[in-house]
Amino acid sequence: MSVITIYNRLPVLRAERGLSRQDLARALGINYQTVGYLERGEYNPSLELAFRISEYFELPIEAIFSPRPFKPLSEEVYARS
Amino acid sequence: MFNRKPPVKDECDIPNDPYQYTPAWLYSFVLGRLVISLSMSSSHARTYRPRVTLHNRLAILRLEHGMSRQDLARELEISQQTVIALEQGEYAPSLNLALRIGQLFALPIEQIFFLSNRDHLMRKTVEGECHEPV
Repeated sequence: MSVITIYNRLPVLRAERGLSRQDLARALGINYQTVGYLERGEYNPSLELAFRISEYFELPIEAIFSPRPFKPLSEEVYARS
Repeated sequence: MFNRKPPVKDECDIPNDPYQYTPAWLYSFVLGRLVISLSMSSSHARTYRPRVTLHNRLAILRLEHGMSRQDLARELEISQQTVIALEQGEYAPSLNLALRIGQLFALPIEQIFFLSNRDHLMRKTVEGECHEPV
């Protein structure tokens, strides 16, 4: 199977909550460098890790990870249609 | 070593018990090796056994949609063996595959895959199916 990048909203979510990579890494029980890899989309998480991330942010997995690029969150929320 | 004849002191001794004079250190050595090998093999098995913390409703969903394993395999562009392994919970899909499965059944991933034990699964299933609080 070809390598497919999965886009994610991790940097936005982390910044919104004022968390450092260290904080998030500690909460998820992973290395802070892994958080960096995840945020840049260089590393696709396992489904289990995705579940843990979604549980931590209390958001559905689809809100955090998507095979298509996300629109900016502000645009989605405040866009004048 | 095992065939060493015990020196018969008197009539009360059991003359032909070869194990009577097997040294204690040999017993402890053999027993120790056995314990070590058993513990090694069990820890080896524990390391390589797939962690089954992920349960899913794939089989039920597939049947609800009237699909065969072959249909599902074709839709997801995976092999039929992978479908079987997924349904039996022997194989945790990648996030990408999980997202595609969610898209196919038009369900959030949390409604298809569940972490941890069976109780968790049952609770989630019930929560997912009845929309009003009981």
